[in-house]
Amino acid sequence: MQSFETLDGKRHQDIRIKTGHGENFGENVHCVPVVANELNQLAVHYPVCFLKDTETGQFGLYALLGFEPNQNLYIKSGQWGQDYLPLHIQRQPFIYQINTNSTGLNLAINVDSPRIDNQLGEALFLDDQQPSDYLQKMAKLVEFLQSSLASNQNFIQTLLNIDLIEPSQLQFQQADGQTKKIDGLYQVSRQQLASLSEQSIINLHKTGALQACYLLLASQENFKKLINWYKS
Amino acid sequence: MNNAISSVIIVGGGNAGWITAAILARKLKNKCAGQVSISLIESPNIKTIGVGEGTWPSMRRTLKSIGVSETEFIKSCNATFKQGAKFVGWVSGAKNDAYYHPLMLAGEDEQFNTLHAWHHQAQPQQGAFSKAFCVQDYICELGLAPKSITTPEYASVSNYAYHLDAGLFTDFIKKHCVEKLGVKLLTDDVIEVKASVENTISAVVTKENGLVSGDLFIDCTGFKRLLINKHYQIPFKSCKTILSADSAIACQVDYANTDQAIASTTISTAQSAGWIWDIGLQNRRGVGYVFASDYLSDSDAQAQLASYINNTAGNATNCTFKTIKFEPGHLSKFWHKNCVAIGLSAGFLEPLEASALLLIEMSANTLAEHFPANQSAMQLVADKFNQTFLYRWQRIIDFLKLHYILNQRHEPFWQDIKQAQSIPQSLQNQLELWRYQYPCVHDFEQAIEVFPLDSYLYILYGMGFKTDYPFNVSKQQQDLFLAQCSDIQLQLDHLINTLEPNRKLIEKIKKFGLQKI
Ligand SMILES: Cc1cc2nc3c(=O)[nH]c(=O)nc-3n(C[C@H](O)[C@H](O)[C@H](O)COP(=O)(O)OP(=O)(O)OC[C@H]3O[C@@H](n4cnc5c(N)ncnc54)[C@H](O)[C@@H]3O)c2cc1C
Repeated sequence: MQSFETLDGKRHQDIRIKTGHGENFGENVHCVPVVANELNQLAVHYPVCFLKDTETGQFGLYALLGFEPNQNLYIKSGQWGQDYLPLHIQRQPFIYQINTNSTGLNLAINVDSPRIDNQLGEALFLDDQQPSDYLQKMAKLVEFLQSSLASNQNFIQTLLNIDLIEPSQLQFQQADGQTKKIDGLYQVSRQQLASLSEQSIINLHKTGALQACYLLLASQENFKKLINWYKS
Repeated sequence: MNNAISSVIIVGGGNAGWITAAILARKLKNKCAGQVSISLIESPNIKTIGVGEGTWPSMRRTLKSIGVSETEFIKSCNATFKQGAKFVGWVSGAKNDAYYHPLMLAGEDEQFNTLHAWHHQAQPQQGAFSKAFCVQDYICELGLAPKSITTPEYASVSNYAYHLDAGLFTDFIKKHCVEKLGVKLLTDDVIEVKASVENTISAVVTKENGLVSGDLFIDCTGFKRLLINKHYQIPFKSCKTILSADSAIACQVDYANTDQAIASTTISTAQSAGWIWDIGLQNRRGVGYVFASDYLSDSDAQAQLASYINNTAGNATNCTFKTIKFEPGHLSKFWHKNCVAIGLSAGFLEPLEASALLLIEMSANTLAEHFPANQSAMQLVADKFNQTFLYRWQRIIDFLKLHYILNQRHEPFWQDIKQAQSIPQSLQNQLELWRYQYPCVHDFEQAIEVFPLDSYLYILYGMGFKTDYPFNVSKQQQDLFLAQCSDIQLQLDHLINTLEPNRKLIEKIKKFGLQKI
């Protein structure tokens, strides 16, 4: 459930935010949108791929968390036990919104989020209606995510323009011996990457796209871990 | 370079000329190391035919191979998806008389294992065949698109071709040819043909630019047949005794409102002396009446067409009607000396199965694949080309005729067109055979066939044809058939959840584009 309200010191004075992670907060999803700017941290933990939006057909960047709808294999005994969580998860329950209210923070809050409480968790505002440290930290994070989203689209378009993205099929033996096939995943093409002209390589390097490509490829190793979790 | 063929002159800038130019330019680039130049001369005064809006799935391959983006094509040509043809009223003309010729194949392997099981259980009911053998009927009835926004360009969920605006399509291919494929365009009138001693064409004379010489000339001048007939006088073989329609009245019909559903098939509705095509583009419908002037006057035909339009959510008072007369048939030879006829200049048959653009694609591909290296190779290549395409024209004539001979309508046009003496012997033989045994791939010259076996089955059994096969249905076949029925149901359940209506997908494509991968 989502219902966003522009953040306001008076209106949201008494709201507190529960900061844990896991099923309680609706985080049992099989993939989560991510941005190229966080690939450094992501690539160590998650396989990251391109997926098409089913409504628009446009590519987006996603960390894969499971192989079935609502399956997040990173959540163990109800908890998401991982050092780094994708920004999209960290930012909950806020989104970016230009804000002319008194707070001076460009944020809106999802008031239907299960994180909302009036007793437990982090306070949003101090007694004088000034933003708490927690809230200021969240505002920075959301601003960073917002600016990363724009460069993310450029990154994807750059790769598409030079045919650097290709379909990649994931296939493995399930515990019962059946083959499981995962369609709809797209990945950087190793072959194309290896055959780029010097000029293209320089161009990609300058924008950071080249490094992102290699991080994406490296992140595929995490599928092994995911598959093992899936089977057990 | 031992008189290598290094310059191709295409005369005529209709869809035949430009499709041929694109295919040749693209295919010869590698094959002839860029040493063959392609030029096209089009008259600034003579208009293109301006109709021809239905295509065959081959068009997807053609567009992809010449390097255009499907998204751009759909945006530029008001194109929509065509998943087959729906024939309304072709059997009896009764209220529910309709069957489909879908573009999805009916069988996966070459043996139609389950044909007998189907035929045996269902008292061959009109319209039931295609439903038992493929899921596309249902998709079309629901007005769904053949793919989704996540399907890559040119890929399909269910097989499809296009409906397109003929005029916009010419402009689109022309632009691509000139800007991307290096085709040279000369806008001028050809007024004379110059021949050498052996009567090969050495040059054409243009009004403004004088002599244009070349090694190979392609006659794409439409019904004018400027080189192949005016110059070489290659005889024309009429087939009016087989297919009697010789006239068409075409017009464009506005949608009743901007979000009116776009049909998934060409709708072909039988009339008293022919049939009406109804093609849904993005912004309008293209509608026309193909009829035989021996049975109906132009004005009566126009009145029937107007009433069709008014009965199908259109308004005929807003329409401009254009009448086109044609002689059904084809040349007795398409390649003579150093001149090849492609498009309407090669011949024309009523556009019942969109075979004209298909033949243009086939001709240009064959020409490119067998491109003669020099004048010495020319004759040999020409002989083979003529043999192949004479066969193909004859097969198309047979296939179009097949649509007519099983009708039970009472009008003189429909009675006469199924008379035995008007049916080519080749088709009579096949029908005779199919009365006793089911059609199979071995009944066809597979390598050069135009329409697949599946198409014949859709028409034959769609119209209620009966085969008296004397054997029982084996248990194995019966089981296969039951499995096939439940498989179609499964496919349908899945597709209903995946596919959107045509207009919705077209709008998404215009907004977001399809991905190349
Ligand atoms: C009623 C009707 C319906 C049809 N429906 C379909 C359909 O649904 N599907 C399908 O596949 N096909 C259909 N067709 C056929 C299709 O329209 C044609 O095959 C296609 O448009 C190709 O035409 P063309 O280029 O051969 O001829 P045209 O479009 O007539 O082009 C001839 C070209 O030659 C040029 N020219 C002529 N004389 C000279 C000269 N002296 N000097 C220089 N240039 C010259 C003209 O300027 C023009 O550019 C239909 C045809 C008709 C008549």
